[in-house]
Amino acid sequence: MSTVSQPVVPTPRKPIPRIAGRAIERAWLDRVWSGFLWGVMLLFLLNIGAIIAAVATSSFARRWLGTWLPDGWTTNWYLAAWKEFQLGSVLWVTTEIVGAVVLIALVLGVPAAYTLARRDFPGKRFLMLLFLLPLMVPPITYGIPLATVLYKLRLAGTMNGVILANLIPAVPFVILVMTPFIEQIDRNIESAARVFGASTLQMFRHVLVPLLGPGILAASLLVLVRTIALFELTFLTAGPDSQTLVVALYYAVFAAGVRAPQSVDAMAMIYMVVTLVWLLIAMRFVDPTQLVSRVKEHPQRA
Amino acid sequence: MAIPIQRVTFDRTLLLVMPAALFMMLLFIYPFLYGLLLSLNPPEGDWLDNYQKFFTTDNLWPTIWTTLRLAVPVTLINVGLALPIAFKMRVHTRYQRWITTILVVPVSLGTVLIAEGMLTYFGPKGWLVQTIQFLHLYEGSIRLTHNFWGVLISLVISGFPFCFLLILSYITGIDPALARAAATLGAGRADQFRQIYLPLLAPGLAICFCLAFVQSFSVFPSAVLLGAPAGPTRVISIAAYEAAFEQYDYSLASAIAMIMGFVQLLIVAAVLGLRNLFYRGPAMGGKG
Amino acid sequence: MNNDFKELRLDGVTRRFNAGGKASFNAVSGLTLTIKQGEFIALLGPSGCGKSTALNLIAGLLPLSEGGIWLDDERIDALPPEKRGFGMVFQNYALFPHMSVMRNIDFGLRMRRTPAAEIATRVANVLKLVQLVGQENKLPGQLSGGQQQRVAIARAIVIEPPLVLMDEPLSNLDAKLRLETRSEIRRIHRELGSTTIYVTHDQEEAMSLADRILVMIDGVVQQIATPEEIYSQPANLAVASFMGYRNMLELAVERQDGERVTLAGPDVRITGTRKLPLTNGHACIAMRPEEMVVGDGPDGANTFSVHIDGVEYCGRDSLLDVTTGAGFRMHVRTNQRFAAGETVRVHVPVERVLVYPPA
Repeated sequence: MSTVSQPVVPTPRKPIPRIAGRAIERAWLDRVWSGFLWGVMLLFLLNIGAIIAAVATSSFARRWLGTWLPDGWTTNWYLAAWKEFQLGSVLWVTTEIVGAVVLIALVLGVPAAYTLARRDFPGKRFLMLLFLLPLMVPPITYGIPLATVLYKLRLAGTMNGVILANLIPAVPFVILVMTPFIEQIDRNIESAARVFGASTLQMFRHVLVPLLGPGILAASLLVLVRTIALFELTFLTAGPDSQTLVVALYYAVFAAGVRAPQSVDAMAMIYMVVTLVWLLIAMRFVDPTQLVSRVKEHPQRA
Repeated sequence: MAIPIQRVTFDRTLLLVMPAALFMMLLFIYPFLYGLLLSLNPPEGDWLDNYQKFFTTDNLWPTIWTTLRLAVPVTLINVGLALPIAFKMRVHTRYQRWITTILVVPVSLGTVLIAEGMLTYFGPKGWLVQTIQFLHLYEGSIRLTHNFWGVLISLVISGFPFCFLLILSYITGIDPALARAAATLGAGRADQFRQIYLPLLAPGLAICFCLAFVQSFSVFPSAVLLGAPAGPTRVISIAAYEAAFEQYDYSLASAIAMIMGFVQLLIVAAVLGLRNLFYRGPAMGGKG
Repeated sequence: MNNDFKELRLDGVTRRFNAGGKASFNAVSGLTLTIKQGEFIALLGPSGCGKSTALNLIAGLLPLSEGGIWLDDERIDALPPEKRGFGMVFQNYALFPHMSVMRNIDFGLRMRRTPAAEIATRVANVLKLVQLVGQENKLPGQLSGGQQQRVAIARAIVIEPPLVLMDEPLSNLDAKLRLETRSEIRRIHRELGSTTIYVTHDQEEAMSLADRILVMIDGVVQQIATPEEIYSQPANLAVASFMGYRNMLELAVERQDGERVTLAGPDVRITGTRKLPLTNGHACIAMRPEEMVVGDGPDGANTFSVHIDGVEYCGRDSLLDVTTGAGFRMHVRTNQRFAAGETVRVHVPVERVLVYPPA
């Protein structure tokens, strides 16, 4: 419990003369509640661990039918999945699409976030709404009309179409993540740069971008992870040559019957590893607790 | 709020927001309006025909309830679990970062892996059933896949980490001095939570609820893979997909998408309306 | 917790922090102090000296590593803050941003389940005391800094705590408001007679408010004494330096005669009063700029000539930046007018030269 309570009560070295009965009762309740929470967390993680382990086991299993562990082990399913689902080209397409989305989203999003963080202007609330709305409505809602428009423009089924579709949630996401980062940079630094004669562009290049480095990194990693995982929009707009890994994976399962489930599992494992690596990298650079707002924790030693 | 001087000399910084705004207008607003018009122009019949069709066809209009029946409990479970756990993790300790990372891992799993894993793990010969039978806990049959529960569990697994992260970042944004001040004034831990944290968190919780709700409301792959897409988990996005890509009726599909967006926005508006009852503003106790 | 106590005793209060790895340092070590009811104690020290930590230890916001805190015969250091019932004013006020002034002030009473009628009268009284009548329904964000400060004070004193703790309460106010609020705090303390511990790094603030001052440097108590004593007789070199003895010279000891010591340098000979035993041949003298006098002393004692390098004009007087021929730098405050470049003779009374062992 001592991890939660701020005032940690030390074990007394001498007996304490009086402690109210309610305090003891409350300490007991605290412990029960805390135990319950740990239990829930443990249950959650245990089951997730088992789910991952089940897929992992299956992907390496020679044959696994209703026993604790499979009869034998093999890595053939990975090879099979690689060939059968053309994973090489799928991964390459995914990389291209995700890379393009991250880059374009940053180019569009960071300047917009800067303006929104720094300026007050008529129509700002409308723009905020415009940037927030795509995150607030289900992707399918705008994905279907978007796909229709893209079909008319002959963009659906192409890489460009998929990139455009994925940018719709990515740009607002960059803005959302970057705004607090920009807000916490002291305006005086910019003023100083201006006083010393930097133009807007120079100020951006030499002052803001280096200062925003961590924020930009955070935003790009988060957009990257999100785009890899975003299913609906790619699903609605992709053609056979522009599928990302998630969509290819979905089709692999959907058309399961003919294929061995183990090779689907192998592919799912590859997907998890790809996302997990990027996620862990992201977690190294982004303190998730500081995404929304930042409080300077006043150090207790003053 | 226009600063008068800006009318005289145009602030060129405002140009920076234009590309992104233009992009969103072109790729979000325009398709949306296009879809709206399309939905009002059915291939045959009256302009409201698609909507009439949706609300009178037996395998279409109940999908709203099916979706809400899934999305609302899932969102409540996710927010309800994430809040106390994030509250527990708010203090910086050695373990905080570790546990936070572990709790976030499920984000990387992806619907298909969760589905495959659940089918194997919860399956009739899966580890869960084997363990329960091994321990003689319960002898009846357990079905946690290909039904409502399967979709629910998968949505909790993929949605919880997101809620947890978001709420954690809101909680750590509240100045801990406020809770300390409350403590010196006689507030125990429960009162500190009720009187200080909860009201200050309310706006963040509302946002989190909305975002989590979007995720579970637009459930598509897991409803197909883990549910019973023909029956109890025929959610609204399946109906929309079928209309668009199986019947090639883009007009009807757009109508369904519009209805979906409308229901979603209704919920969001209700939640944000509730939020306005609470204090909104910085969660700091004075000049920083 | 009773309001009617005789004294609060801190007994060897110590707090260790881990400084990463196995290293640890004492933010507060061995703080021992007895506070009588009604006393106003200032914890004074440079920033980072551990005084806020000490206050948090007393409030119960941090656990002690060693030692004990006693309220008369009751040991309270294991009680959580909400059971100690002390009122605390935080540095950034920590007003609840979502509650009105009224709700902020009556928070402590509500937590104590005080009857509504009593809450009403007590809040009304305290609002009058801090002169916030009419602001009850505003949110803290709508108040000025000074008003926020007064809400913070009202919130702490309305529960009539046995002890009021204040953590640099004036540090966020501008100079004028700081002076006004200081008198206000003094007045409130006079009217209520509440025992108060006040943390500050501003010596002037401490001296104007406190009955006794505790000077703390690097977590260690240096001196506990009345403001006069701290001002005129600092216990050691560190306290002297902190209390404004800006002129410090390390010189060789020439002659010792009881407490009277004469020290000499290349071109100065100064006689002063020893505070602590001197062990080796060197000693450090400490003198306040405002206690140096331009002109020769009686019999030419403690007199030397200095070259004026610069003049800082301060209105009623000026601060001279001077050096002796051998290069000792000193500051002299005077209300005569001088210009940089002049050479003057200055002296300092023997009893105002304090001699300490060198640091």
